[in-house]
Amino acid sequence: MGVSDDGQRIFQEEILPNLDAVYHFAMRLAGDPDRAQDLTQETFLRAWRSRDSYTPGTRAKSWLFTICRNLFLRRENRGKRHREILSEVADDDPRQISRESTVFMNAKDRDPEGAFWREVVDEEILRAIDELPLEFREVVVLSDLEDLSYEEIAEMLDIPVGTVKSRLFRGRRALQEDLFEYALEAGVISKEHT
Amino acid sequence: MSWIDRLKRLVSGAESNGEGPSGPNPPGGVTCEEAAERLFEFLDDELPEEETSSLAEHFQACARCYPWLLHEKAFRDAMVRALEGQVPPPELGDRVLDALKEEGFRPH
Repeated sequence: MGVSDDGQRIFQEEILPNLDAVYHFAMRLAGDPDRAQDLTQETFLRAWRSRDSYTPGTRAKSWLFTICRNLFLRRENRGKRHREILSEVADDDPRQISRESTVFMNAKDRDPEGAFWREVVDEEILRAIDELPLEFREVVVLSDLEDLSYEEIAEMLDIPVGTVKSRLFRGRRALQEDLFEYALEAGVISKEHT
Repeated sequence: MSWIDRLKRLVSGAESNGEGPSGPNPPGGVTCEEAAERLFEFLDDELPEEETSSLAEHFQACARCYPWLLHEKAFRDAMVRALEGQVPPPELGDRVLDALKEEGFRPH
């Protein structure tokens, strides 16, 4: 195999620095550290083998996440649930979802600025994220952690931008509702209006 | 400007003491309903510049919507904190490098 210096350099400078980001993403897909490490290693090997398909200077992260996700999905049998979720979100108006986020309305008398979110422990947040169906989990992680734009996520997942928004907003709303329940149970925010 | 910078500017800029909601001249020319519909897109920095400015103006002046913005921001921060807290074990980098070297990668 002919390995040009240029290919080596680009891989080292643009691809390799994304190890942490790929691991974060792999963790949320695979769910445990051992599988996430395997998936990360495999992603970089696959990236190295297909480095010719990477355009230097473009979003290396999106490219790596796509590889990572494809590797993961190949092992998963998503089948029926996947299609159900797709049809379920098809008619949603994302702005309606934004408007109807209710946790703020429930909490505002006691904690208008949402200070209680700081008291929710990381383990609970990760548990709630991991309980989301994959279709919602992946857009939330790609947007909120990796800061990809709606357009980049749409391209990566091969779905319309409207579907990205709808899944993202619904995913966040579900997370908030789940974690708000926890916050009430844990006494992080009081149950009674004061 | 990213939404975080915008938010910082918003927070440091002026007290939120507007009376809020609709009225004949809502702040920024945006009603509370419209602000609520676009809140997520605003925080994601996904709106055209002009719309972003009018919304920023609204949030800054509206006593009803401004806390909501802070609430959503606090939620995002908590999520990012939890997700970023998961650092890969230190040996993963070496493990990946070794595997790559076996396939011809030569780091400089």
